[in-house]
Amino acid sequence: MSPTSAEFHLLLALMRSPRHGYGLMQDVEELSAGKLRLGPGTLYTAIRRLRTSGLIAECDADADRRRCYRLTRKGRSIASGEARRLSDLVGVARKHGLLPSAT
Amino acid sequence: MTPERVYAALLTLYPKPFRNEYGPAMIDAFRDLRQSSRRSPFGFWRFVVADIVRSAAREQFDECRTGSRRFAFRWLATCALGLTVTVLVTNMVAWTFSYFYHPYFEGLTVPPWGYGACLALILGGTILIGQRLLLPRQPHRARAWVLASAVALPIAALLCGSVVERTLTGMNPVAADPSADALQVLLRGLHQPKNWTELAVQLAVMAASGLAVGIITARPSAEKRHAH
Repeated sequence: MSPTSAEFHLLLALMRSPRHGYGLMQDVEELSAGKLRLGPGTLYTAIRRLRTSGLIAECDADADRRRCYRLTRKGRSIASGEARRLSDLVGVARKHGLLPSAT
Repeated sequence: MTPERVYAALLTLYPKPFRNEYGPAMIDAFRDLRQSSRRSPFGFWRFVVADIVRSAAREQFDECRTGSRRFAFRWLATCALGLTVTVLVTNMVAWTFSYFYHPYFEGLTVPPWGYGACLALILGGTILIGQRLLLPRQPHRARAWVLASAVALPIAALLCGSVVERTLTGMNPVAADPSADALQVLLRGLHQPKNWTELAVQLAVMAASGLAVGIITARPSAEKRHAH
C-alpha cells in the first residue's frame, strides 16, 4: 500500500506519540511547515483508510475522552518504506540536476 | 443555529456508516479548529465546506466501490451494459436488413415471439459477460438480481420502444421535432407490436427466455462454491 501525502503526514505525526484528531491536524500543519492543512473531513477519511489497512489503531481515550490513534507495527513499516521511496526519488532528482547536490 | 449544528448538518453528505463512526469526533475537531482559527469567517467556512465536499465525494465513491452499495452499483452497470448492447445489436440488424433490401423480402415479418426470444438471447449473452466482468465474487443475492435483470431489461426496452413509437406515429409531421428522428433511429430495431396480444406474447417470450438464460448463466453464489 502506498499512502497518499496526507496519510503519510499522519503516519509521521503518529511516530512521536498517540494523538487525537485535532492534535493530528496541528502536527501535520507543523510537519509540513504550514503547506498542508487538513480539515476534519480529510483527516477522518484518511484515518478511516489507515485504520482499515491496519496502519493505525485506536487507543484508549485521553483525559478529554477524545478518541486517540497510535501507529501499528505495520504502519511503521509502511511509513519507513515510503520514506525510503521518497528518499530514492530525491536522489534521482539530484542526479538529474532538479535539486542542488546534498554536499 | 450554532456553527456546530451547521457542520453537523453538512455531515449528512457522508455515507451513514462513516458518519456514525466518525461524526462526533469530526464535530469535536471542527469546534477546536474554529476556536483556534485566525481566518475570517468567510475564509474559514470556505475551507471547511471545500474540505467536506472533497472528502465526502471520495468517501461516497469508496462506499460505492467497496461498501454496501457495491453490489447495487455493479448491478446497474450490468443492466446499462445489457441495454446498450441490445439496442446496438437490434439497430445493426435493422440497418443491415435495410441496406441489403430486396423486393423478395417485401412483406416479410418477424413473429413477435421469435423477435422476443432473439432479444432475450442477446441480452442473456450480455448478462453472462457482465457477470464474469462485473460480478467476479457474487454475494448471496447475485443470482436473484441477475434473473431480475434478465426479465426487467427486455420489458423495459420493449415498453420504451412501444411508447415512443406510438407517440411518434401520432405526431404532426409538419411540426415534427428533428430530435425525434434520432429517437426513431435508436428504437427502430425494436419490434413494434401491432396489438395488445402481440405485445403480451412478446413480453411473455422475452421474460421466459430471459429467465432461462439467466438460470443457465448465473454462477453459483460464493457460499455454495465454498461448500462444494
